[in-house]
Amino acid sequence: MALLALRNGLVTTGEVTSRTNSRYQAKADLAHVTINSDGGRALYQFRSCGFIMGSYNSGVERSVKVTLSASRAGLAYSTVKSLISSKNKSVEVDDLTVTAESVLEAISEFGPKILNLSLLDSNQVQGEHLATVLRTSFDWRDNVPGWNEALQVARQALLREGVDPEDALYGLV
Amino acid sequence: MGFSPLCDFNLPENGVAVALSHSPLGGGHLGIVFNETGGRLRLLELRWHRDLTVTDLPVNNCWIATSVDIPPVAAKQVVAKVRAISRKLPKINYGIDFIAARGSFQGTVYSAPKGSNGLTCSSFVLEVFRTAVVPMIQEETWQASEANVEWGNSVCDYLERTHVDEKHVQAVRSDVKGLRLIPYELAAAASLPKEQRPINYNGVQPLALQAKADLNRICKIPV
Repeated sequence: MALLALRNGLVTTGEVTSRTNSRYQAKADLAHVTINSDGGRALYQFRSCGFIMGSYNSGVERSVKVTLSASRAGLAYSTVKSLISSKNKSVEVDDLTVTAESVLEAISEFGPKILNLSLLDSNQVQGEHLATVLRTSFDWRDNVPGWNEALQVARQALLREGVDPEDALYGLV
Repeated sequence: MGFSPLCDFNLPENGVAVALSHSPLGGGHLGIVFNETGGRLRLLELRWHRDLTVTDLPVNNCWIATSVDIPPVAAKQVVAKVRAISRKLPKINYGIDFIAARGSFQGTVYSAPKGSNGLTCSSFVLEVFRTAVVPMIQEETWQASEANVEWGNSVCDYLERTHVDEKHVQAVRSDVKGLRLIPYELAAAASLPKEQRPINYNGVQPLALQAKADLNRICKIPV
């Protein structure tokens, strides 16, 4: 099913690293996969499939669980990354709410370290969405990699977009 | 910024307001007003022990409201965070020590810090603004009073009467030391220009009296 997802473009890039000859074993390394928003459903289907396989071989089940956990973490991070991309031009309250909720869901499920804000390029991020990520993750700022660095990136992105950083980053600095 | 009746209140999509009403326990009752998707004006309030509620406006009882002065771009992010909390509606115990309760929210997740037994209606509002990085008051300047001890005891009696778990009531009773964030005080702080926040205890007192007077003028005192 995951392979079907790959073929159907739900998973945009990825690599199936190994498949055994066993009838009941299939192993796909999805930990570094970039997944679009519909990919999550396919992965949940894949989890159900993995459960059935696991009933034959608990080792496989465990392996599938670990793989899927890493994949869901990748999905959560990819979602946030795509929301703060400079390609995302929508900055109404509704749009920023989606970003805030995505950040909170990611942290709630995987912890603050999932939000790696290191090495962001100010030309590649949308300033208001990044500011929303920073405000939303403020309570965890000491545990989010690159949080302080991202503050400077947000400032540069906001200036490029003609938005006053003192306004957008109110209270964060 | 002053207070106006909530029923006549206009709030832009990226605006957040604090609303004040009468409370049977005295000292007023506080909530947060914001716009949900589709321009639905909503009121988020901790009504009582484990009773966090979000309601579409208009509501039946009388409230007054004041807009919170936040720069417009940042205000959009604050609304996003308030919406996120209102969509989760965590269960929150009623507790009166607002100093121990600092940092009660981690994102939308409510988790009582060590030493905290819960929140009041006003410390809930304070904590929501804290997690949205909008500082309101200088907590360390707050002063205890005998009147607050009396209020604290009456709150514990009311918790007992409403069949709240005895252990919890005992824990709250042990926090009755006269320190309290009165809704009028936080409402007054929220009504200030951002340059004047966070405000200290002495600075907010005359403004809290004014907020109380505004409430009594606009909303009849219940008998």
